[in-house]
Amino acid sequence: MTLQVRVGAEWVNTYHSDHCTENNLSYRDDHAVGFYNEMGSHGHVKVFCWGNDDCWETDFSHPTSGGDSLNWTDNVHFFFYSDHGGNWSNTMHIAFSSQRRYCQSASSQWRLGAKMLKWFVLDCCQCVLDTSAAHIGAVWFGPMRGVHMIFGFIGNGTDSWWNASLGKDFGHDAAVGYSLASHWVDRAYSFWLNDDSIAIAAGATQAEAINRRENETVNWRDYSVASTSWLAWKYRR
Amino acid sequence: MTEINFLKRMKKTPELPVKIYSLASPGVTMRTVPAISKMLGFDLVTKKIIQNEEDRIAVMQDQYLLEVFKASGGVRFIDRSRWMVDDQKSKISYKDDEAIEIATSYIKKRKLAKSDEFKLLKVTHLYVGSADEKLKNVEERAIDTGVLFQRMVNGVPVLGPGGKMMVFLDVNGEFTGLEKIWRPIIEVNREVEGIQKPEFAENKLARFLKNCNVMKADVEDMEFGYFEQDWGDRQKILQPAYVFKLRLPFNKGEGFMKSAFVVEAATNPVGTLIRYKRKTEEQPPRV
Repeated sequence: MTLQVRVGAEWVNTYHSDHCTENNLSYRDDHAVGFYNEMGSHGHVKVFCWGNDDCWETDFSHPTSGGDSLNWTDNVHFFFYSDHGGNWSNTMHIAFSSQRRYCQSASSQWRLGAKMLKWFVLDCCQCVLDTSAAHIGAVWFGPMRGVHMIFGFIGNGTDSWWNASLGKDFGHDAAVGYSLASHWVDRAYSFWLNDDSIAIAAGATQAEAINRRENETVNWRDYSVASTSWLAWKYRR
Repeated sequence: MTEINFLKRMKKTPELPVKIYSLASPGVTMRTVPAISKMLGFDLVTKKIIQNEEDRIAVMQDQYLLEVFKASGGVRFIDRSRWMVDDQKSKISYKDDEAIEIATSYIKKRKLAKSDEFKLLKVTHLYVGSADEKLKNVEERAIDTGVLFQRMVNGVPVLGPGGKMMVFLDVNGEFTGLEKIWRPIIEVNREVEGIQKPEFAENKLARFLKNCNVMKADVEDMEFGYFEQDWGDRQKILQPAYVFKLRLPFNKGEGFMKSAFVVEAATNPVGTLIRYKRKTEEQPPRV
């Protein structure tokens, strides 16, 4: 048995030709909904799963930046996002098809974990561009404000039918209580698709960040990160 | 119309000895899993620990976890106490060549594949790192090796997520895990009458991208081989295919999402490998 966690997911496949224009994607819903349903099928609480134009930039931005994150992404423990993403100027950007305020959200407006969020999956491109400590730190020390771990890709991710089960596979591993960082890195890595996966854990001390990276499961839900003074990461290449 | 930029093209029709094969049914049941377990040297104390899940059969005993996937017959076997685990001090002290030798010996010992049925694809490493906010204390080490092998059928590579076997080794070169998707061939389903020209595959790709309303795509690579699918896919036929690796620009080229496209290559294929996405269920407008 694992502790029950609240789960949210958002994804975008279809963009518009007259606003928020980006290349359409095809399998983002398989990833996000697959994760969401798999967690739910193991007894975790399905809170929201928004797709396409229902996926809003304000769900990510903290109220100090005019957003509504405390009622959405930061009102669940485990959040899975699947869409276009990019990293420039050491800032993560994610894309939206509907323009509530902006067509993109920048990580400079995020305060991940300010309320409830513990684990954040960025199933998109460029969670980091490389694995230097300077770059990882520059991108993620700022936005990680209580969140335990970030999961993503080094460089670009892939949208195709033969990795469409990634969300479901990771959802299974997370839901049943396997170690989160190792199982994300293993499930998301693909030599074939040239996908390099990374998990980044936070801690007030080096020992805490490493302990989370090595051992944390959903059962660590209530073991809070007091401050993000250290990051510890794991990746395969 | 999609704007397609071909960074790589196949100029000639491949001339490789390909056939179309029938694959064995995985036959993964509560009864067959103990035999797989035994083959891997993992002796079950009791069959009561076998769990029948929706898509897999899982066995957990002591620190070991074995998962056998019902659709593909794919096997995932890990020592959870050591697989991808950092002891916070050690780093790999052996060379990649030694890792390849250890992994190959394991495959031979466990009779996982014949020596002419696979080739080395890549030696990967798992890295761990940590840093404080001021970057005064930065550490990074490689703590495991994943030796990845690709299936070969009469000298023709098997592309796709399947037809792969990865052997995991810890810092000391000791075995910690195995992942294998390798559907057994039972017979020749039919002879290949001919191979389509690469232009045929390119036209199929263009039509597919247009159908998906993709505005712009770069073709980074194009390969030819057999195509084997992933853990959760049922697959009855192994047949030759063209595979394209793509990238789709994001934010006017600030970033890219990768993608891929596969199309059957025989002039007399069995079915099609093109997967048009089922229509996504519309959500009611959010208020």
